[in-house]
Amino acid sequence: MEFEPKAIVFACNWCSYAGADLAGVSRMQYPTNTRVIRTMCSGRFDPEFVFEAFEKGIDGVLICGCHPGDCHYIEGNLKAEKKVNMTKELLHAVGMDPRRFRLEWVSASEGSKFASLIKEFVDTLKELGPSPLKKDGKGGKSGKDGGSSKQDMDLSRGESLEEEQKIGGD
Amino acid sequence: MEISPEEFVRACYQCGTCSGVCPKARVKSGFLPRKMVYEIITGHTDREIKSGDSWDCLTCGHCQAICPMKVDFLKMVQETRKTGQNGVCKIAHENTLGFYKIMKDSKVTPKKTEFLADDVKTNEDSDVLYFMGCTTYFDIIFKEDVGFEGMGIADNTIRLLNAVGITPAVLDEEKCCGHDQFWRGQNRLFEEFAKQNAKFLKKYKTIVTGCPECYRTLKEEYKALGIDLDVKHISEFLADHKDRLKGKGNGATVTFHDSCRLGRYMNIYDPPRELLDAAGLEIKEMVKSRDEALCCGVSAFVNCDSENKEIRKQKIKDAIETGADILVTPCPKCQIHLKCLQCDESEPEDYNNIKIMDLSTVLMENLEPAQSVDTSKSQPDESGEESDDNDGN
Ligand code: SF4
Ligand code: SF4
Ligand code: FES
Repeated sequence: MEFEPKAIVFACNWCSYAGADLAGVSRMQYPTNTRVIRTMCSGRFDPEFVFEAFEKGIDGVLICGCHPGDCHYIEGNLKAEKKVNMTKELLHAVGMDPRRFRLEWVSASEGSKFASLIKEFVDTLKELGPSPLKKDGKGGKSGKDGGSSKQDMDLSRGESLEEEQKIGGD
Repeated sequence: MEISPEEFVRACYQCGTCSGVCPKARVKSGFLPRKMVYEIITGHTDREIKSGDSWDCLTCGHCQAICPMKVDFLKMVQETRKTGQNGVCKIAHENTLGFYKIMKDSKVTPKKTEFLADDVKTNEDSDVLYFMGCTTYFDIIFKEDVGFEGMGIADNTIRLLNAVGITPAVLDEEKCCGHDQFWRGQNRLFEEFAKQNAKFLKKYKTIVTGCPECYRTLKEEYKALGIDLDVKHISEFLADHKDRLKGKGNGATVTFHDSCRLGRYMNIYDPPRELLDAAGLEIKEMVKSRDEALCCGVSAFVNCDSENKEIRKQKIKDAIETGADILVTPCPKCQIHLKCLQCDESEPEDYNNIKIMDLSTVLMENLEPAQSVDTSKSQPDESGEESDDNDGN
């Protein structure tokens, strides 16, 4: 069976989420490997989102915001860009492929851009294979995670942020 | 084996000396180490409040150094933090530092060597390992905003080793030593890091660290886990090979900050001073130095707040008062915390009258290999005097 990556898309409320919506109402076809989470602005992005998502076994994270100059909070997207660049460097230094994490500008009228972006991103993730942190045992060596290995990603983030995940079986 | 916090503190006879020296007690009313001990012994408050207090502690060790009853304060604080995760623990930069969540996984291998400068010489088969620590990550996080030169520290430490004829190994698979996790009471995470590091650390005869925190952790905390290693701080290591170095001496004046982990924790006071002296620099001591040296104000990024800022201000003021050109700190994190204050534009006072630099960087700039002494005194098996690239012996 072909590897089906799972990715999270953080889309800003004013442009990108509307862009994703447009892709939907225009019945454009794009892969179903992503879950979209709406944020008020791409500036809401926090490095923690990425680290935690990867920790839980996600294969990729995509941040979408308004084009520079269009941000409804003036420069939220520029702030996001700064944080994203730093996060990418950190991911690289810590040993994760930074291609699993991207920032793109999608406006409300760019439904087709959104659809093709997702296609492209999912293709990249397929090429990269499962994240080394994947908990289903497919990525890297078998996960002997004591109890915390969830087969399915819980995207609702129901649980509160715990100081540390359960580590190791012993 | 679990020992309760109470075990370490029974000897206390409530003299209050600890509260007298505690820098945090001076800036935060209500925080008193003596009271903390009292509450733990008598159990008069619930765990929540105890741990809340313990989060305010800087783990600087002033109290422990002066306590007549030798109460193991630091152990007590660590144990209390371990049990009371729910206290008021605010970790500064917590979101960005979340990369530890990925690093803890044994399936990812960090990148270290590729960040090094081209001129540094490393050799994987050496007996000596340079444990780089988290400088790479902190370089990425703090370089732009506070001007922290993390990679400069790593490069210069290796250059210094090269200068005394050692070509150290540097490994990509190195994870964080776990210092911060340990002092935040996240022992499981700390042990996970220790387990992964132990796999390769044991292969090396000597481990050199540039960071006092790595030094303390690898040497003491790992030992407590049964991982016995020969760890040396770069200043300790270089002081043993001092005859292979000579000063370029531009005669600048410096003042040395005894960071808690290197000074009070590990009792290394003289080696850095000897080296600075050998480098031809004039050392001016701050009003409080050596075992009385004031803490930089934050440790393990726990509870960095306006009260701790007062301590940082005092530290820089003390340094400026000496009239020295450079405040030399051995600890990368002290450098981050102090430079952060210098960059703070909301401060009415100017703290920029002194340059803050890392020990290795200062030493590298002011020392050079003393090649003539090199062959006569020690026995480095080098081929030619003009080239200093021999194997680590
Ligand atoms: S200095 Fe030691 S004996 Fe005195 S109050 Fe503090 S902990 Fe107790
Ligand atoms: S370790 Fe430092 S901050 Fe903590 S109680 Fe002792 S003197 Fe105060
Ligand atoms: S509102 Fe869309 S990026 Fe700020």
